[in-house]
Amino acid sequence: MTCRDLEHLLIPYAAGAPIPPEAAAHFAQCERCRRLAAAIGAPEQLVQPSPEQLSRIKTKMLKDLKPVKPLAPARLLFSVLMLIVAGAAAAGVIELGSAGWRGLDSLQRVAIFAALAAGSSLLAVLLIRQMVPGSIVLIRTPVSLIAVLGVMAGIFATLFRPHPEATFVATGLVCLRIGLECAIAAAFASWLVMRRGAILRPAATGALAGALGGLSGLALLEIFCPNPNEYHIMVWHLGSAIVAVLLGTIIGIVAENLHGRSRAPGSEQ
Amino acid sequence: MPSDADAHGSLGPDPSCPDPSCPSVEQLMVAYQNGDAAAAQSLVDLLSGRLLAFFSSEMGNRPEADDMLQEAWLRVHRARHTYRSGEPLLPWMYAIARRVRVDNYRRRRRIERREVASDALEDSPGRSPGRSNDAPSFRELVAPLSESQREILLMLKVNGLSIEEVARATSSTVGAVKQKVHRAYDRLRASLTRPAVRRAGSGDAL
Repeated sequence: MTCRDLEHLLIPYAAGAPIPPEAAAHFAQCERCRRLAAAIGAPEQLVQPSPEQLSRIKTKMLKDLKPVKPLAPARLLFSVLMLIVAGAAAAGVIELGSAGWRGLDSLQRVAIFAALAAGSSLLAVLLIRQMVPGSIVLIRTPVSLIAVLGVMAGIFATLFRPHPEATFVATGLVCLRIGLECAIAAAFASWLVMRRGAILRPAATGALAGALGGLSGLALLEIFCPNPNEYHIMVWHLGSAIVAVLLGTIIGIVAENLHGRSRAPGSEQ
Repeated sequence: MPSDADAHGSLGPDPSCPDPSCPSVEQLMVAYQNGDAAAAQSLVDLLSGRLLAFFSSEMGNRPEADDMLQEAWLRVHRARHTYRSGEPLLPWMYAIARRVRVDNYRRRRRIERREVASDALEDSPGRSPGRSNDAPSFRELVAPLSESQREILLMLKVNGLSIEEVARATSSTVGAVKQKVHRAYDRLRASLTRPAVRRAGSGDAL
């Protein structure tokens, strides 16, 4: 048994499980591990709250105790979030048309919209988990954002080619504005759904809501914009989703700081 | 009703109740959501010892830990609708408690930055000698660790959570938690060779 093997045994040991017999042989040869196990296993002196304090807490909690309606089931929330993403993009398409869709070939249509659907589903699941403290973490938020946006970038880079474009910035800014407007509308609607949740990590929640809105804006741009230039799509279409993520993150950070300051001593006076 | 702060792992029925039909903390939580005052009081009695240990083991400052305990219960009260029936309660509870601790730590750092600016004090947050008079030995043991490593060992040892529960409470993956524990153990091994910590951690508990 190596020191590393012993560490696996020490994890449950720290939480109160007995030390297994196979560790004894290792302890006989390794003083550092023996000392580590002794330190970790030393009984911990626990403090206890005073009866007066418990009474104060109960009084505050019971003052306005009434039945609460639990959060809606995760499946219902998921369906609502997906409807928001699709609805915001559909509203944009109704307003602006679908010239871009007609310009895509079958492979582009399948690859882009399958990836958008998969990415939106993943982000919606992660967003719903943010509402419930202590949920199982499937994938870290930054990893999920990089993965979703990276896959979209890979698809665009593979399926589109650069074309000369005289008004790269002027036409691009139009697409950026349209994408962001759709993203903001979808992210705001997502927030309305999410606001009953206990938002413990506002920055992560803001980034995920921004990304979900960003994918909605990206879907709208792929259906509306007929420009096949790879650089236009990478910079302005995908850029609108990235800006939406950044905006969501910034709003989350600001909300977190405001929340923290509002709990500062003296702020309640 | 006595606290079960010594219990380890997920809490089952109330340990003060010998009847196996006594409700688990999860069942008490559902009753609390439904407006049952007795269930709310039972939860406070059952879990406050654990939560206080979570707040006080690192800070070593009892009044501050008491404030955080109260704040944690108020946040639990406001967020009680977010608990999903059938899910384990402790990760839900500790995720909220952890947020209280983080907020408190940040607030303290802000205050200390202001104090440092005006008085040029050199006081490390949560580790000032003046606060450690009644600190448990576990604090000395984990003092050289990073904040996140300390927190995880605290949840494992002092609060008796499983690796899975710690992962849920810290919004992390099981693999990431295990990695942090291994790194913490590596650092603890190194720190145990130093004389000051050796004195605190070399009690023969085996």
